[in-house]
Formats: sequence, structure tokens, C-alpha cells
Amino acid sequence: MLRNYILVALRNIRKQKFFAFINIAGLAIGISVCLLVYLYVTDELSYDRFHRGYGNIYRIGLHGRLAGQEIYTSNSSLPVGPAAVSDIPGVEEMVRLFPIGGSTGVAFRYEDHVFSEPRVFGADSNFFSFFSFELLRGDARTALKEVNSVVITEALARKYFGSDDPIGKIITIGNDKWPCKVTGVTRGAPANSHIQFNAIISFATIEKTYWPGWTGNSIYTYLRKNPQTSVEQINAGLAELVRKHVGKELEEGLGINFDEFLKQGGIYSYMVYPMADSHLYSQFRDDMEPSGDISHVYIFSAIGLFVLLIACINFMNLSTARSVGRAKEVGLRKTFGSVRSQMIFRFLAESVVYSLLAMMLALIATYLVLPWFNELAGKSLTFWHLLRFSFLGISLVLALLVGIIAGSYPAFYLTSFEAVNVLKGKLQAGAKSKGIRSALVVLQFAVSAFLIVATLVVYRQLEYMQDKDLGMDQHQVIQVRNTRRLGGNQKAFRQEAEKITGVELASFTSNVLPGVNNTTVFRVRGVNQDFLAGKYYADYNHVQLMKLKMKAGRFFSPEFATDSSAVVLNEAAVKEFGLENPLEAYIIDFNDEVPDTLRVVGVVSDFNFESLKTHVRPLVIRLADVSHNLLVRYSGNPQTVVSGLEELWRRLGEGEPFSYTFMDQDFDELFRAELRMRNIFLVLAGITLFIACMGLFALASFTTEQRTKEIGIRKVLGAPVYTLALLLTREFTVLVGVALVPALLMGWYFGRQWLQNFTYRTAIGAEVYLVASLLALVIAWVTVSYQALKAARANPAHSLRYE
Amino acid sequence: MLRLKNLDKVFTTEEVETTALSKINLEINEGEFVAIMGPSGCGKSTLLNIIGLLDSPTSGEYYFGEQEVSRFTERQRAQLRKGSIGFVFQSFNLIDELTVFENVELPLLYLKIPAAERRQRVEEVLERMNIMHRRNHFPQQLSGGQQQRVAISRAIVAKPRVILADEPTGNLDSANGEEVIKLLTQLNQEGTTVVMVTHSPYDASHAHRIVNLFDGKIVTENVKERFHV
Repeated sequence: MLRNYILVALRNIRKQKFFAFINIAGLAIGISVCLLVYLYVTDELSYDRFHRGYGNIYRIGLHGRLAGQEIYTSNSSLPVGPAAVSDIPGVEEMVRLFPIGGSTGVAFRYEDHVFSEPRVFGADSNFFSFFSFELLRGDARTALKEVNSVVITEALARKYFGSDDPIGKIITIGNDKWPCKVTGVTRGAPANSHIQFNAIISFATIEKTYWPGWTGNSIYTYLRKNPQTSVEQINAGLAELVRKHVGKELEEGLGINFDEFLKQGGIYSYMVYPMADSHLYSQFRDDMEPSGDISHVYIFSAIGLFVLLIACINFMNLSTARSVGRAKEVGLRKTFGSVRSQMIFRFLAESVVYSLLAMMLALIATYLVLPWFNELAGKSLTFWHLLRFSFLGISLVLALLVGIIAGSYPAFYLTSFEAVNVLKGKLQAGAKSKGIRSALVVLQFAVSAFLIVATLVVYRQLEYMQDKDLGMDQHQVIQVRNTRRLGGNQKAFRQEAEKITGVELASFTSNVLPGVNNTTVFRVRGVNQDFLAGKYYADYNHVQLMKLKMKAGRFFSPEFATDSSAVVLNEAAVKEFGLENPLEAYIIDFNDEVPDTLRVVGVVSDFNFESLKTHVRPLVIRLADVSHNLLVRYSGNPQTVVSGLEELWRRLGEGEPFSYTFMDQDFDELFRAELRMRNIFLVLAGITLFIACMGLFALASFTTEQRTKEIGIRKVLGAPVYTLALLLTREFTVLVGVALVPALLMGWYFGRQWLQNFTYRTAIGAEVYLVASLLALVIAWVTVSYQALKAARANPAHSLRYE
Repeated sequence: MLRLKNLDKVFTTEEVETTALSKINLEINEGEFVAIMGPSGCGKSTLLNIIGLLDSPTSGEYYFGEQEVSRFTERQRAQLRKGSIGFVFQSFNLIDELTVFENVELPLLYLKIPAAERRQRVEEVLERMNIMHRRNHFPQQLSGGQQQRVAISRAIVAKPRVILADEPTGNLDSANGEEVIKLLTQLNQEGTTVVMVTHSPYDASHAHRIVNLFDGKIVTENVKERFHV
């Protein structure tokens, strides 16, 4: 019997290829979106849960308020971890991670293999026993005990040693050239770990390079707590430690005692939070890897379910729309004594066949779009995720469920017809549900049109940001990174670099744009108030190279020997510090060993050194003859300039790795989030539009079927084809028109809200709404015209004969 | 005014060829009232559809007036159809969503006749058909006889030269049927050519001439009375 049902279902599919294709493809898209969302969500929720006893692993974060600025950072200080273990009952163990090398990475040297490696950390010796990262070679307890020990990943071992045994080999690491012995090889961190590393160096090796104070927060601390100990108890213990140790240091540095600091509104508070929450729930910033966001998980889940639901409804719509044809069959079967329950089962079986076919298509589609989805969602999901038993099980359950849900309405509805009425042709199939279906199409088109507007708005803003004049010229500038690796040859490198053809100017700076890596407390001499401002060092050529404009005074110059104690401010800093006559002012820099009093010699016009989302922050520039990075302005072919620089570096750098970036590309990186957002909107708009078209197609085929007789009559009376096509199209144009009203309003509202995020934003003109409207309408027309033309061109003799 | 010469109509599906009409030769003069009779499936409706320019023959010639129209395109046929031919169907074929007035007005709309004239002509016809009082009703609100009177109104409002009626009394009781036949006869007497497909010998008896079809062929033509021009 079941075989018979499946056969009939397959025959039906073959008979109505186009309808079956639309129906199955629509379902497949819905299921595919759902599967991708499932993969995404389960991956997001699985972060850091592979560690043994992850529920008791906590991290220490810092909440601070200084000079009116609120800070939440996942960084902590060197001594807080050990102090927590010794002073707070219930804290059993701790491990600390020390990032080394920053964004440029650390130089690794083995024989003639020299590379700059990112994601290198120093760690306490219990790193591999504390966490559950798999160690393939070496002993988890002792690998990081000794000074100058390093544990590297498989991939790194292959890169430096090929097939040789890496254990015992010496790699020379970093600017200080630590000779580190490889004591272990690890598989590395799985993708769903918030810690990602290429190498772990023993704490003993790097200890001396870190300041052991309580107010320097630049490392990551993890605690393992006793299951019985509460978070509140640990936080109370941490508060006690802060009072005891931080207070003293603040007094030495800022000259005020801790109580006074608190009274002025200051906050300095360590607190613990579950490691498993770092990825999705953390409010603490500055983590090693960009974190996820639980709201994205919710949004994605909602979208997945929404798309699936709509696809199911469309499936029902299409099936019901064709019910006129099937109704006759039902009537006949009933006449010949078929039982209703049997027929319900048959329709359900048919719909399950459809959904199983759709599921197969969806699995293939999911596999095909996975690399692309990975890029969109920032994931590294593989084919193997698809083959997991749980995933296949869920797919199967989903297919059955979808088949039954989507098939239930046609099944129950179609079989409810009275045989007599059906055979007499009295049936007004689905007439009562037409209102609902029109509403659905309106909803679908409203969502699509909204997403089109959203895409356009994001697109426009991106374009605007990329074209905006930043107050400087970030184009045609190469940033040569980590020039400290050149040792004593830095100045020579700058001089020689300027001789390379195509190089116009070279200038050292401590900072790599965009962004400022140092924010420091300043005071104006004679004013008892702290100010926060970004700070970096640059040499004499900086203004000329960056094409900045001086607002007042001058930039540093070799003619003034005293410029080492001079500063240049930007306009925002002048405003923030409240300077009436900036060129007569002195400011105090608290970041040095002893506070430094500096004379303001110039004011530079504001330029966007960060993102366009914020106003230009106060900035203080100090003079340095040489520094960590060399900016090189060039003209002509960048490739020849880069190879010239590389050649020069090889000559002066003694085998050190050469790394560089292009400044304009670094700025474009800032828009990555917006770019991703645009792409997501684009995809969503496409999918919802497609689904909306399916809904419209169903409605159109239903309506034209309903109106066949009317069309026939009109034709007999001499109506030309185009007027009939127009007649049919008009109805749907009205529906789409109705959908456009809320869509455009919402698009306008949310577009404006979103643009509020940007201090510098584009204006959204009427053309955006016009384009979105036209797009929605044209797509709707194309969808409907197939049905409309088909109906309008049909021979009226046929439609009128069978009455 | 209508002349069919060696006309064939063959319906072709994937596997079967069905000959619906074969070697039809028929001439219908201006002002004539012709009844087409025959058993179910003999090709009556197919013939009427071809005469009415709803369908085209597979081969043969068809002269509508002086024009050979058998190879006309859909567009040309529609053009010729809308001013020259009026249709009356067994099941009335009124549009449910339109009122009596709007149904009757429809052919004039497609002839692009100005609104004022349309109104005048529709009202004239409704008056004549004695259905004026129902002008703002919808078809479902009328009796069968009334619906067929509306359908006839619609058929004649454009003043066609030919009225084609496909079993116009088939869905009516005898009293209403009688009335419809009277109307058609009256229209014929006023000069309109009428071609009517019917099963009813009584209805056919009102015609000048009866054409009997069997298996797609004309078997007999009996002229009941010569009509006077």
C-alpha cells in the first residue's frame, strides 16, 4: 500500500514537473536555511565546552571607570591570579595567558625558516593540564616547566621541521631571541574555542618582560573554582585584594588614595565570569579573538524558523491552489467507497515524499553553499559536521515533520469535500482562505522590500565611508611593521628606504593606523582633573607624510632641540582639555616612570584615525626619532616599492621576518562588520524575495484558475490578451503596493536608527525607496505574468466548454 | 454570408488523433436562422466554435462575409469577433463579480465606445429584454430565465451581424425556454443571422433550416421553409 502511495506521488511529480519543481525547490530552500542555522547555532553554543569541568572554569575581567570613561575588559593583571589562589578559599587553580607580539606576530627562526607567527602566548606551566587541549607529544605537566620551553601545534611543526622529529629542536623566538626548546606538540585548539594559539611559551621565559604591578592589565587569567564556592564569594575576595594592592599603586601613580578615587566616581573592580560565556554572553572586551553575540544566535534561529515556516505555508498554498484539480479525484474516490482516513494518509504520504526529496536537495545545497556560508558567518564548518549522526537524525526528523505539517492542510481540506458537490463542479476551492493568503503574500513582500531597503542603506553607507575624506591621506602608504627587529639599523633603514624608486617619504611612528594603541591619563598643568586621550609617537615627517593640516603652531622640527618635551594636540584634545590658548599650555603625561610635563607647540586639524562610527577622539602626538613602525609614502607601482623594501630589509634585518600592510586596506578592514552585514542582508533579501515569489506564484495560479471562466467570457467578447494580462496583474500589483507601505516606512525608520551608529553618515534619498519599490514590483510582475499570460492566451472555447 | 468549404478539424494529443469535423461544406446566408442538431460528441460545439472564430480549423476554407478567415491569428479573430458576432451559451456565462448592467456593457467596452453611448445602448437593450429593473443586481440574484435574457442582451448590444447560440434553452424550464426562442426568432426577423446548436426538435423547428451532424459530417440539410430576403 505504502509503495503504491509513493508511486502515485512520484507519478504526480513527473506529471506536473514545473509545479513540483517550484514546490520542492521552495521547501528545499527553507530546509537548507534551517540546516545552516542549526549548524551555526550548535557551533556557537558549543564554544569552550570541550574542556573537562568547564562549568567550574571562570575568567577574571576588569570593570573600571577612570576620568569618566567606563571600561569592561577581559584583561587582568599579573599578580591577581596567584593572589586569588592563595587568598580566596574555593579557588583551586589558576592559569594565565600572556599575548606576545600583538597583531604583527612574533618572529620564529629555525635555520633558514623565518616567519612572523601570530597567536603566540606565554602561559603558566599547568596550561595543558588546566585546559583539555590535546597534547600529541610531550608531557602535559612538565612541558612548560622550564625556562625557554615552547609547545607548538602540529601545523607549525610541519612548517619548520617537515617530517623531522620536532622534540628537542631549538627555535629562536621574538625580538629578544629566546632560544626555546620544543617540549611538546599539540593538535591545537578546535575552532569552537575562544583561545586560538599556534605556540605556547613557558611563563618562566617571558616573566621578566611583564610588569608585575596590579594596575597593568594586559593578560588573561583563568580560575578553576570549587563547585561549592559561589561567584559572589570569589568576587568579594577579589574586591578585598583590590583594596589591599591596587589602592597603593593608584596612590603612587595618580597621587590620590583609593577612597578618594572611589569618591570621585572611580571604579576598579575585578570580577569573575564563566569561561563558557566568553564567546556569546561576555560584556568584557579586548578578548583574543572576536567574540560572538547571543543576540545573533537568537536572530539567526528566528530567521531559520521563519523561513522554514513560510516555506511550509507556501507548500500548503501551492497544494491547495491545485486542489481544484485534485478535488475531482477525491470526489471520484469517495464515490467508489474510499475512506477519508485512507485518503488523508495518502496525501500526507505524498507530502512526505515531497519533503524527503526536498531534504535530499537541501543536504546537497547545504553542502555546496557551506564554504560560502562559512565566509558569511565567519565560521569554519566542514562537510563532516553534516555527516554527524545527530545532524542526519535531525534532518530526517525535520523532513518528516515538515512533510506532515505542510501536508496536513491540503490533506484534511481536500478530503473534506462532499463527493456530490465536487463532481457537480460546485466547488469554490479555497475561496475562504484567499484573504489569509493575500495577507501572507503582503507580509512576505513587506519583509522582502524592507530587506532590499536595508541592503541599499548599508551599501550606501559603506560607499560613503570608503569615499569619505578622512582629513588625511591613507592611500599609497605602506606600513612596515615591527622595525625594532632591525635593531641598530632602524635609522639606516629609513634613509635607504627613501632612496628606493617610487618612495616619496618615510616616517617612524609607534602607532599603526587605524586606531590608537595607547590611551593615557593626562592633566593640564594647574588643573586638578584627569583627561583621557590617545597618544602615539612620531618623527618629524609625520604631518607631511600623512598629509595632515596644522590648525595652529607647528609640528616637531629638528630646528628645535627642546621638541623631545613638546607635544602636538588635535582639535578634539584642545577642546577636551579646555585650552583657551593651546600654544601657551603645558600638559602632564602620567604614563611614564615619572610624570612628564610637556609644552604644546602645535594643533593639528582633526583627522579620522579611528572609525567613522565615533567622533574624533582627543589625541596627543609626541616626538620619537625612531619607533616600531615605518610609514612609507609611495607613488607608482606598489609591488616594486614592496620588493625594494623587502630587499633592503633582507640586507639590514639579519634574517628577521619582514611584515607590512597597506594603510588603505587596513582602513577598509574597519568596514568588515558592515560588509558582512550587507552580505547577510543581501542573502536574506534574496531568499525572502524568492519565497515571496513562490507565495505570489501560488496565489496567482489559484486566482487565475478561479477566474478562468471570467477570462474566457471576456475573451469571447473580444478582450485583447494584454488587457486580460493587465487585469490579472493589477490585483497583485495592489498587493505588492500595500506591502510596500509598511516596508518602506520600516526601512526608513530602521535605516535611520542604524545610521545613528555612525557619526559620519550618508544621506538616504528617495531613490533608495524608489529602487526598492521598483525591484519588488518588477519581480512580482515577472512572477505573475507567467500565469497571467498563460491564462489570457488560453483558448476560451476550452474554459467555457466544461461548465 | 458564412461559407465553409471542405473544412476539417482534427484534435491531436500525444498519441491519438481525433477527427472532430470532416469535409464540412456549409453556407449560411445573411438573415438566415439555422439550427445545428446531432447526438452528443458529433462536433456541434466544435463547428460553432469555428464559426464563432473561437477556434480555427485544421484545414479547409472559411469565408466570413468576403474574408477568408481560417488562417487568421488570434488577434485578428478577436478583432473580427468583437463587433460582428454575439454569443449565447447554455450556462449563460455571466461574470459573477459584475452587475447585470456591467455584464451587458462589456462588449461595448472592448469596442471602445464612449461612456454616454454605452449607457444609452445598454439601457435600450435591457429595456427591450424587459430586465431593466434588475440592472444593478448580480447574476446569482436572478432566475435562470432572467440570466439568459441578460446573456442575450449582452450578445446583441454590439449589434452583431450573427448570433451564435449554444443550446440556449438547455438549462431552462420550458416556459423560459419558449421565451428565449421567441426572442431569437424576433431578432432574426429584424435581420440578424442566427446559428443555434440544440438538442431540442421543438427549438429547431423555429429555424429556417436544420443541419444534422453525425460523427463530424453533415448528413442532412432539410430546408423547412425558404426564407424571404
